Amino acid sequence: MPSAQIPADRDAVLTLTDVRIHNDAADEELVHGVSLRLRRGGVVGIVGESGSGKSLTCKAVLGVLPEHVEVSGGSIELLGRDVGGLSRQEWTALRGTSISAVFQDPASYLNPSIRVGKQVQEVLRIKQGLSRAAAKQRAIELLEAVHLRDPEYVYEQYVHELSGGMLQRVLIAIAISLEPEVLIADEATTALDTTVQAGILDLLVELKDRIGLSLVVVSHDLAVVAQLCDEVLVMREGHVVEQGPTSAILHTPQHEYTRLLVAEHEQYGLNASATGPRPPVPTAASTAVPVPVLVPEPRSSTMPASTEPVLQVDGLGVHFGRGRGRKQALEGASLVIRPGETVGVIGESGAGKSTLARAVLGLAPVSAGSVQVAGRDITHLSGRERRAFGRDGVVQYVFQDPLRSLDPEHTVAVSVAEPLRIRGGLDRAAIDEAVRRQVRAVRLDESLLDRFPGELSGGQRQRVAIARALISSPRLLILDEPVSALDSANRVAILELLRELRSTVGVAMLFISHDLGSVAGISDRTIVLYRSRIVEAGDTAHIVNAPEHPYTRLLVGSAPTLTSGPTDRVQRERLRAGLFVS
Amino acid sequence: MSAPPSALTAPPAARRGVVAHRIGRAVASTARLLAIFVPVFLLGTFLTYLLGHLSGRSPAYLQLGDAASPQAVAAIEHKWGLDRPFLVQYGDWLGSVLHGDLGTSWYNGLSVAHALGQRAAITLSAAGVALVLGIVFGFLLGALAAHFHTRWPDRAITTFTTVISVLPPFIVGIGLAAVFAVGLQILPAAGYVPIQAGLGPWLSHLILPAIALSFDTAADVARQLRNGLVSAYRGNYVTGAIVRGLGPRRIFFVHVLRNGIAPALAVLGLKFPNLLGGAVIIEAIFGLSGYGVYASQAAVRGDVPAVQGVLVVSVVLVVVFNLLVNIVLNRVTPDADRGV
Repeated sequence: MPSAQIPADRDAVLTLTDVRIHNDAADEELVHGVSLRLRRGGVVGIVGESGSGKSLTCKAVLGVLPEHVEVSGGSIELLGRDVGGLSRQEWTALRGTSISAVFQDPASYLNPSIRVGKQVQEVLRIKQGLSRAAAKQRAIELLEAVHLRDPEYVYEQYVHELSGGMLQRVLIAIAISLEPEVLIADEATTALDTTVQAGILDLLVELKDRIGLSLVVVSHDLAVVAQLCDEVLVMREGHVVEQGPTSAILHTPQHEYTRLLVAEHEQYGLNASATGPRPPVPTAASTAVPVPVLVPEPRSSTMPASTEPVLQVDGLGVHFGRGRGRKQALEGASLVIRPGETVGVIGESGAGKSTLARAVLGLAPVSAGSVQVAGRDITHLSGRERRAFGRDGVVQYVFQDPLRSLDPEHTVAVSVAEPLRIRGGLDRAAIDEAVRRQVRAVRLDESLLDRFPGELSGGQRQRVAIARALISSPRLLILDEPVSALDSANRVAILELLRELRSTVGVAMLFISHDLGSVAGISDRTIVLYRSRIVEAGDTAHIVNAPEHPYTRLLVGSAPTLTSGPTDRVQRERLRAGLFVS
Repeated sequence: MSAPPSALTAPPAARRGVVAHRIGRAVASTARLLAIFVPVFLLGTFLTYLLGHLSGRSPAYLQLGDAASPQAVAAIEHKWGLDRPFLVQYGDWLGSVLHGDLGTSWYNGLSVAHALGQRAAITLSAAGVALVLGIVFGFLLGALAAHFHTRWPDRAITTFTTVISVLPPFIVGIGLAAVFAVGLQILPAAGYVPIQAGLGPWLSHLILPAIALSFDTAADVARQLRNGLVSAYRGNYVTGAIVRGLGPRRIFFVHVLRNGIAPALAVLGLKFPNLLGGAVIIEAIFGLSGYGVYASQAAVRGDVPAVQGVLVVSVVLVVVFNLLVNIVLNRVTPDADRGV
C-alpha cells in the first residue's frame, strides 16, 4: 500500500510525495496520490494499463502535463529541488541535463522533416554550446554508444527511413546526450517486436551501469518492469494499488489486479511458474538461451488427421514492386491447416506475416506457388470469382485494431449481420436470430446490440469483430494480431474466448502475432517467419522448449518473462551478433 | 508491410550507394518536373488553340466588317494561313510560341508578344505585390492565431479572415479607392508608373489594387497556417523537443513551423491563378492597362491570337509557380515525398 510519508533520503534523485493530478477542465482528479523514491542508480517501475495515470505521473515529473491538467497536491523533488514552482526558463534548463525521457512510438517523437542526426546534434549545440563539427562528432559517438551499427549512415537518415527499434535507440542517444541523472522510459518498448524490445531493455540496463543513470520504467507489461526494477508500483484508475520490492510483488501479490497481471504471464506467458524457481533447462542446449517450459494445453477433441486440409499453401512467393525496387515479401512458404487446428505465425514486423494472411485471402500478388482453401485453388482467381469467394465467407479475418475495422456508423447488430446480408438468402428474422446467437457465443451482452463501436471497450469491440467473422460459419479464421492492441485483462479474456470457440465451433485458425506468449497460449503448431522465409515450424511446445534456428532462439530468449536474469542478456547479445541485428 | 531499409543489415557497400542514390534522386526529381511541365504545357496550348479555332472567328470580319464578300474573306483567311488543316496550323503556331512569337493581332496587326510584354509587367507587379502581402499578412495572422489558439485573438483573427475572404476584390478595390484616393487623397486612384520611375511612385500606384487582391490569399493562408501549426504543436515531437530541454522559440521556428507550413504553401499554389484572374477586374477599376484589360478587350473584339497569347502566358506562369511551390514543399517536408 502506498505510504503517504517517505522520510528524506540524501541518496534519492527523485522523490514523489503523495502527488495528485487534477483535470481542471473536467474538475476531476486523475491521479490520487503517488509516492515513490528513486535512489541514485536505482530502477523504479510503474505498471498499469492505459488510463491508470502512470503516464500522467511521468508527465508531471517532466513538467509537460497537457493543458488544463496540473499537479494539485503533494510534491515532486528532483535532485533535492522542488519542481513545483519552476518557471519556464528553469524547466528548460533542467530538462535534458537533469532529467530526460523516452516514450512509446519513437517515430512520432522525432521531427519528420529533419535528419535524425541533426536532431541529436541540435541538443548538443544548443545546450552544451558545441560547435557544429564537434556536435556532429559527439552525436555520432552517441549513436554508436546505443549500439546502432553504422552511426554515420543513421545520422543522415530521416525518421521514415529507419525502423522503430533504431529510432528508439536514436531517442535514447538524445536522452542521454547531456548525461542526465534521471531517465524516464514511458512504455519505451511497447509495440516494438519482442526481440527489439529485449534489445532496448538490455541497452537501458547497460547504460544505467555505464553512465550511472537512475531509471523510471513505465509499462503495461509486468514482465518488462520485473526484469529491470528493484521496486514496482502497480497503478489502476489513478490509484497505486500495490507498491513494493519486485520480488514481493511477483511472489506474493496482494491486490486482485496485480494477481491478474502475474496470472497472465503464468497462463499465456512462457514461464510455467513465475513464483517458484525456474524449471530445469531441458537437454542439449548448452549454448542456447535457457528456455522456459511451456505446459501445452491439453486438447479435448482430437481431429481426424485424414480430413482434407482447410488451408494448403505450397511454395508461396509474394513480391511487391518491380526492377530495383522489387521487394520479396514472402519466399517459398508452405503450410497446412487441418479442420479445427490452430496454427500460430510469429515473426518481427516486416517478416511477411500479414503478407501471408493477405495471400490466403487472395489479396496479395502471388508470384510463385499456390494457395488452396478447402480444396479450391484460389491463387489466381478473376475479380468476379474473388468476389463470389468473398461472399461465401469461407475465410474470415479479424484485425488488430477493432476500432478501425468496425464501421463507426454501424451498430453492433448491423456490423455482425453484414456477412450474412452480403451472402443473401436469409430473411430479416433469421439474420436477427443468427446475430443474437453469435453475440451470445462471443460472450457479449445482447443489450450492446444497438451500441456503436465508439461506445464499447476495446475488448468488447474485438468480441464484435470476432462475432462478425464467425457468423458466416467460416472454415478458416485469420486473426492478425487480435490481442496486441488490448490491455492485460482483455488480452487474457479474448485469448480465453478464442480457445473456447476453437473447441465449441471447431473453426480452424491462423493466429498471427509478434508476441510469443499469446501464440504459445493458443496454437497447436507454430510457424516462425524471419525475413520473408519460414525458418522453423512445428509443435508449439517444441518450438518454445527446443528452438533450433538462431532467430527462434533469440525470440524465445527475448520474450518478457517474470524471471529472467542477467545471463539471458549475455546470451541474447551472442545471438544478436550471429544474426546481425542489434 | 513496409519495413524500412535496414542500415543494420546493409553491407558497407550500400552506404556508398546512398550518395549515388541521393544524386539519382535529384536527377529523377528534375525529370519528374519536366514530365509534369511538358504535358501540361502541350495540353494547355492545344486546348487554347482549339478554343480559338472553335470560336469560328476570322480576321476577315474584324477587318472587313459584316458585308465582306466571300472572295475577300477567303483571300484574307489564306493570307493568315487559316485555310490549312487545323493540326498544321497548331503545329505552326506552337513552333512560333516556342520561339517567343505569340503571333500578330488581328485587330491592329501588332505583335502580341510585344504588347503583352509591356502589360505583363503591370499585371505581374500587381499580382506579385498582392502575393507578398498575402504571404506576409497570412503568415502573421496564422501564426498569431495558432499561438493564441482557442483564446480571443484566435477567435478575432478567425472572424476577420472569414469576413475578408468573402469580400470580392472589386468591392474591396472600390472601397479602398473611395477611402484612400477620394476621401483621404493620400494615394493615387488610378494609373501606373513603371518601377524605373522610382519605388515610391510605383508602389503608391500599386498598393491599393494589390491590397484588394491580397485579401483572399491572406485569409486562406492564415487559416491553413493556423490549423497546420495547431496540429503540429500537438505532435509528439514537440513534447520530445520540450523534454530535451529546447526553448519555446527554437521549438516554434525549427520544429513546429517546418511541419505545419505545408498546407499553407499548398494553398498558395492554388491561389496564384486567382491572383492573375482577379487582376483582370482590379485593372479595370484602377485604370491599369495590364494584360487583364488587354485580354478582355481582345476577347470582345474577337482578336483570337491576342486571347491565345494571354492564355499561353497564363498557363506557363501558373504551372511554373505550382512547380516552385512543390519544390519548396519537398524541401520543407522531405518525408511527404510528393514526387514534385
